[in-house]
Amino acid sequence: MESNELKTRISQKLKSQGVEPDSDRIEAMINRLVNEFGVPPTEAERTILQDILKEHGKQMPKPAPPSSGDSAPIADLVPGEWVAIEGKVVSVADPPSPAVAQTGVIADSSGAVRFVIFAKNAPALLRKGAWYRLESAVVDEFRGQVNLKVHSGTTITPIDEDRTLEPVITRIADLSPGIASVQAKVVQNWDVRHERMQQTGLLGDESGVVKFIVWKGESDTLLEQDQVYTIRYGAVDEYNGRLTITVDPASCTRQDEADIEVVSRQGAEEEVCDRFEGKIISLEPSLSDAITESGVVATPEGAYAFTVWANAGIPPLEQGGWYAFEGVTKGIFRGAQRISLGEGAVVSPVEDRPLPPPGITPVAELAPGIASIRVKLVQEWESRSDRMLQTGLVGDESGIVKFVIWNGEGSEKLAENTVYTFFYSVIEEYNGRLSVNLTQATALPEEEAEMEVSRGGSVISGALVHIASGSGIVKRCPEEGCNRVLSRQNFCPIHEFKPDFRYDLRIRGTLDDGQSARNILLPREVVESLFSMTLAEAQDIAENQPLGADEVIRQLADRALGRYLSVTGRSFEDLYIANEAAWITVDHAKQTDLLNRAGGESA
Amino acid sequence: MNNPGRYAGYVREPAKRVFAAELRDARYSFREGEDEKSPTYILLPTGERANRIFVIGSLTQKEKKGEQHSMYLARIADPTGTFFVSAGSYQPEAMQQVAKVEPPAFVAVVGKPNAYETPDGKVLISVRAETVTVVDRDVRDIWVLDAAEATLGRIDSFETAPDAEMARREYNPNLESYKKMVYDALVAIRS
Repeated sequence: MESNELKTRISQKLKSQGVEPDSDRIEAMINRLVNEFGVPPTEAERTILQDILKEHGKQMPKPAPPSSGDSAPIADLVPGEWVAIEGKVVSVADPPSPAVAQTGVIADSSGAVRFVIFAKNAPALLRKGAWYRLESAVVDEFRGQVNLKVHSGTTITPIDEDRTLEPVITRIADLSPGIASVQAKVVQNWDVRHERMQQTGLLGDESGVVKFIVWKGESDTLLEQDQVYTIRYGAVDEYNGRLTITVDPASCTRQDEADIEVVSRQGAEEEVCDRFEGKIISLEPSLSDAITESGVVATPEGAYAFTVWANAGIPPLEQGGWYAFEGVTKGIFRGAQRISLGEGAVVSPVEDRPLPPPGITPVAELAPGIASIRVKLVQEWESRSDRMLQTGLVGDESGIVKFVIWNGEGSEKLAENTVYTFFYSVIEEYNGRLSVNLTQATALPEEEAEMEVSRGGSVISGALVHIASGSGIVKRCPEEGCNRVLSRQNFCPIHEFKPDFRYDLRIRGTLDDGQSARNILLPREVVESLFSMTLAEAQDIAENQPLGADEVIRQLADRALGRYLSVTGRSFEDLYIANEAAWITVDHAKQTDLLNRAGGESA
Repeated sequence: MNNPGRYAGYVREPAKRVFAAELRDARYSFREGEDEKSPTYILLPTGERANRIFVIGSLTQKEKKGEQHSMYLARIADPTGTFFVSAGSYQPEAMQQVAKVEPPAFVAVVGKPNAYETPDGKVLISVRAETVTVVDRDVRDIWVLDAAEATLGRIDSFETAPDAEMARREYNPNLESYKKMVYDALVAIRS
């Protein structure tokens, strides 16, 4: 929204409440909130209106339905608005619940939207194919999609003329949940597995492919393979991160002249592998209908995680069996190479043979993928899920890494003080940190073995979310080798009253990266460099200001809490002791990376 | 340091990074375990539980509420929408911290999300603050990147995350729309 437009809206709303707007002041407030403080325009509008009305002793008006004669283009509807639209009802459907009288899709030349008429005080139902003007309908969001609510306060006026309506064709790559029209070719017919389903398969155009479903209904028409259709106002839904378009054959037009060069879904991210032979190391049951099974396959050259897609029609694989793989693709999934067995993949059993034992990777050299490691349990963490059997840290001479063991057949907890070799564990990357999934890995415990785990001078980072008591300026016992922190009354638990204490400065707190919250200790040198507060200054505050030592903590908290820190140090039990620390600055390369991740190819 | 067991059995809940627009969609909360002290979680639509959250945004308004003005209510805007934050007499530090803030100001808030049902049946999420500190725009921008990364992480691991099944059942989330939310938030911090 332009700031001028915002200013006009605020001014109009003030006038409607009998308040004369001060244009310069509103502009200054917009500038301050929106430009300086990054407040979204709608929130800025609310804030400014409320602040100014309050000064005049008035309340914010409740949002009122607009009564203007203009109607909004359907494509521009935004949740939270009351609108008037004019459109053609292109489909109606049986109500999904008794609370609903009718649902359907209404379209204009800009786009289409699902509407719902609630049963309570329902106005007249709409007729398919007819044009209507709807006033005071409410745009809201249902399951992330824009939805038009028709309620008892909505005025429905039939429009007699039948206006021309051409659907806006959306490229398949640009589809998002909602209502869309596409021009596409039927590229695959899949087996129908659901009794209410009439047909399912893949539609494709030059930009990509999408799954389609035809539900059983009035017509028995099937879409023909390799035929191009214009599909009007299909419902696009998302399930398991994939889109599906629901097609009504009655609203499809065959395009006999047209042909479309369909691009495959895999696109640039996946490459076709040469034929190879490998042994199935582990298999996991699938959690999704689209996937039959997944697991790890090892070849003499290396091991890979693999996924068998349901559409590949591959019979169940056998753990420990050797197979030849043809027509499979390799892609990157969460930072690791993963083999995908989709349509066209052929898997045939081959003779068993010995597989050379895989090389052991030092923890410090792990990367996403499959690796074999020789490690010892370092620390067990409280599991945060019922599905998790055990989680924590394992380590070797080179470093430590997070591990997870999920509940499942044959899953066992790691025992303390035992060195294990894990063959073919899955290394995943999550939020930039590696984690070893040991659930399916083959474990070989060595009860006699000893291993010195290096906890390294590792770096942790996060926001300082808590400062604990015992932070700030503290007094320490001066006895040789004691160094304990004294109570406020200068009492040492061992050496009793010590009026000749030494001062020290420190922060005990919590560094939280969103995944874990760690107790950290920032000793004096680190506190002094981070907060530009020396021990001498802290001592001065403690001795000369009314709040004394509390003032030191208050000042440190004001400068520290909620800020991002990167800390180098060592773990000692559950405490991470810093050698160095630095404030984190804005990383614009990270912003670019994240924009790419969030925008995908279509951005 | 002579008491190795002092943290044993207690693991502090990490503070989840969540954008206002996602928190606004949350409505399902649950308690893990029967114990009186067992934590309550809000289920985020992208499939992760949150007992504590960390947000940075602009405090646009604050208001004293309650008997003897015993609590503050504040509105805090991030690029995607608004958080409702409360600080009451049970959080004296947070309350004093809010009292000092002169809006508008960037603030960092650590707190616990709570679900409230309004009389008309809507569920609102408000954040009970543990700490509130004034920060600058750079820190806010770092948080936007952090929240973006965490949200994308939740979206990307939705198929395998332990809480995703519950999120699918409760919200059937449109993950693409949350990706778009992240994208818009990232674009909004471009200077």
